[in-house]
Amino acid sequence: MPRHHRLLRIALSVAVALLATAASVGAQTPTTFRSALLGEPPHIDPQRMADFGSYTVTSQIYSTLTILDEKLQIVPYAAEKWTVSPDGQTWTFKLRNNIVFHNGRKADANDVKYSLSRLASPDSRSPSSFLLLSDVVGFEAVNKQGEKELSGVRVVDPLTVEIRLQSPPKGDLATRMSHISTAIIAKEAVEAGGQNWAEAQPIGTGPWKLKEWAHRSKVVYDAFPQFFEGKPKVDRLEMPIVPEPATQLAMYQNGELDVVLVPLGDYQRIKADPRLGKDMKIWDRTQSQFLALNPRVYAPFKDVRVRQAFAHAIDKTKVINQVFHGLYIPAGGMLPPGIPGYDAQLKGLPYDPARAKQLLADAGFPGGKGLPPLTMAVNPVTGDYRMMAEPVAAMLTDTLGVSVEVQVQEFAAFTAAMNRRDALASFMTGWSASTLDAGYFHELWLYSKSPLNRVNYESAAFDKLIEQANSAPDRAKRVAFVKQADELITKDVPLIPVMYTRFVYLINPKVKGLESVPLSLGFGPFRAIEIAR
Amino acid sequence: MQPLAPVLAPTVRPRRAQWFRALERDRTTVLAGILVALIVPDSLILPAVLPYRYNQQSLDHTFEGPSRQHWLGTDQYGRDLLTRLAQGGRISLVVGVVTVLAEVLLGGLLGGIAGYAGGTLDEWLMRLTDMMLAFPALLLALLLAAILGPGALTVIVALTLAGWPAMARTVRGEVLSLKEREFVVAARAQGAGAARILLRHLLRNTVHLIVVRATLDIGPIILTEATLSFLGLGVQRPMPSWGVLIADSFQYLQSAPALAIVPCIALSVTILALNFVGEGAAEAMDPGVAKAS
Repeated sequence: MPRHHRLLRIALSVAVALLATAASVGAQTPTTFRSALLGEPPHIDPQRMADFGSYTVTSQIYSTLTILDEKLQIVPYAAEKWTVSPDGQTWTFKLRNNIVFHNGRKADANDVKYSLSRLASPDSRSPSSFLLLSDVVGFEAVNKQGEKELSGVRVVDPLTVEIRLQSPPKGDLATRMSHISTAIIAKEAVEAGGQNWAEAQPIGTGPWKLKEWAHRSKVVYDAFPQFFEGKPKVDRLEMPIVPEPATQLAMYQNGELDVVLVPLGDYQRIKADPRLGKDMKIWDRTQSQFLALNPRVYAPFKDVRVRQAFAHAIDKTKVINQVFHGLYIPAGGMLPPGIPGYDAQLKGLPYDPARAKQLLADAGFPGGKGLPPLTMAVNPVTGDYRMMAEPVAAMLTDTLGVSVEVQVQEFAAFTAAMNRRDALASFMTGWSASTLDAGYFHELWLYSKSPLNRVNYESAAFDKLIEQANSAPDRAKRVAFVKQADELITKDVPLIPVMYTRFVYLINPKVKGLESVPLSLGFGPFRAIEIAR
Repeated sequence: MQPLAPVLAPTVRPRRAQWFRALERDRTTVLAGILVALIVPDSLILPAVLPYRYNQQSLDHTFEGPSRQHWLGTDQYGRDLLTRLAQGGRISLVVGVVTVLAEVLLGGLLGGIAGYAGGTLDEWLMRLTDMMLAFPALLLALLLAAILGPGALTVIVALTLAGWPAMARTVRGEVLSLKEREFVVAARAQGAGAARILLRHLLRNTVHLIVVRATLDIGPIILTEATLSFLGLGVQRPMPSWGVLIADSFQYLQSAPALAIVPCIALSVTILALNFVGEGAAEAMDPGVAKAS
């Protein structure tokens, strides 16, 4: 072969080899978005979701009919549109025609009916089913009498679901259908997986398919190519479980995490940092943090005067200004801003140590004498509760003379103790909206019949207001009753709201498409993220 | 026949004056001893003397550096760091001393009985200590905390249970070697009962060994207490064990590192000093004995 031909062939082969390598390298490195979890999720069953960990995981795997967007509007998700009859009792949802389960099967209206029926049934062990579905026709039959299918949910055709509500309806069904517990689940997964089906068979219709849940270590997902809004533009999602906010921050600074909640102890330093300061984003949050008082464990709390004394002894403004750099808002009622019924004028019991002492004396504990030592358990899931607990404990000791012991436990243990309802005397925790409705705060926490009534509050007056709010014929009337309920909370003090928080995050500037919402941990499902190379 | 002269304690061990002089020659130990002598009274007295309570917060004066009012500055809630450090020292020492006393009592008695009695009693007691020695102290503490609830008492109980086997073995070993000595035989010949021999003769002569062992044990006990409190199983907030101080300072590591460094130094220095003192005393009393057990 002539020499120049040989050289040409060699040069060509080298060029092809190089191109191939470059192409394969470019194709091989998967893009990964990394966001840490603050604690091991107690479970990943969407129907039982009641904490951040399980919300964050399930909202990636499963999808609901509607979803809340960045502008706080309820917008289509798995449902492409819906209509409601004039009397508010018949809702018709039209599903998208390209919804696919992670196992490849197409999802349709039958799956919606199955999912809602199962949610209503006691098999789901859901703490939210009453809240979300109690006005659906046939709920009682499924929830209490062993019926398997919700008669009020009708499959009109494979892409159309009609849901009938009893009169009077409990309000906006479309909002309730954005709650992850109403997500579409696969019958075959539940039947094959048994009681803990969610971990054994995590088959959803969401943007991310669960790849691995390494307990106490991390949760890893792969992008689901047939996601109905289009395959996510990032290949992989990783959620390492990192309980210490300081460690998370260090990981972010090392480039090991793409988003991180700023521990407020470092807020000043990060704000002043030329590089990190630019990555910081602050936005509003529908979360209220409060000190819950449990009379079932600590008898003095049975007397409202004692609870009011405790409320008067806490200087919320001082704690917020000195410990939280003025970033948060002193709380009045239990409802945070953003929830319809929130009243910025509602102030609650003010800081008044003299009044606190007087009330305590009236209740028979002058100077704190006779008050047994109080244990204050603290939710460890973010630094906020820990940072709030000790100053509040010291204020209670200084003003009321009660000795307070602050107990920090591991998250799963804390949640379990809280849910037992008879284990904790008092606890510092918070509640964040995953749907913009007051029921999620009032009814879930303080309605006497709610399974999550962790403070064992039993007030006929409060129950009545909840029932009136639920059966109100329109939104305005519902809001009016909700406001009254929140006011009653400030006077009857089943819990002491301390502050409404805001999100302070560090976000990798290469990440685009993160929807920041005021709910849960600040983000909806990571369905539209992109990472610039 | 002449009554047998009471035989003195075995003269193999250096007399008191001798080992005291040996100690003085070992400067490290003396230095360590001085440190301990400084730390212990400070921890016990300071919290009573300083004008602040350990949980006295002042939210207007957070994260202050050292000043005349606050010699070590203030923490995240405006509490005086020196007061909290001293209070933490108090707790560490109290937990350390009480635990050591308990394990001496428990271990010393059981070990002495085993060594003197011999036979199946000895065998069973030694099996028991073997089992307990295999169990890691930290795990035992975690278990007990789950059952009894967290707190200083749980820590003391857990560490005593974890520590008595080693003490028992030491004492048993010594008792075994002593029990055939002349003074013991003589005492028995004089009609002394087992209990009397055990207490008056045998255990009295193991005291020095026990003291050395105890001193060496305090350091690790304090460290384990700090670890448990760090994990949330020991002393509860706002009570400031050194472990609690270190745990709470974590979130401020990058912005106020002194809050973490100070208790860490206190912990390290105390444990190191106690270790040196213990080893030095062991060497002086009986060269080689500290290494043997």
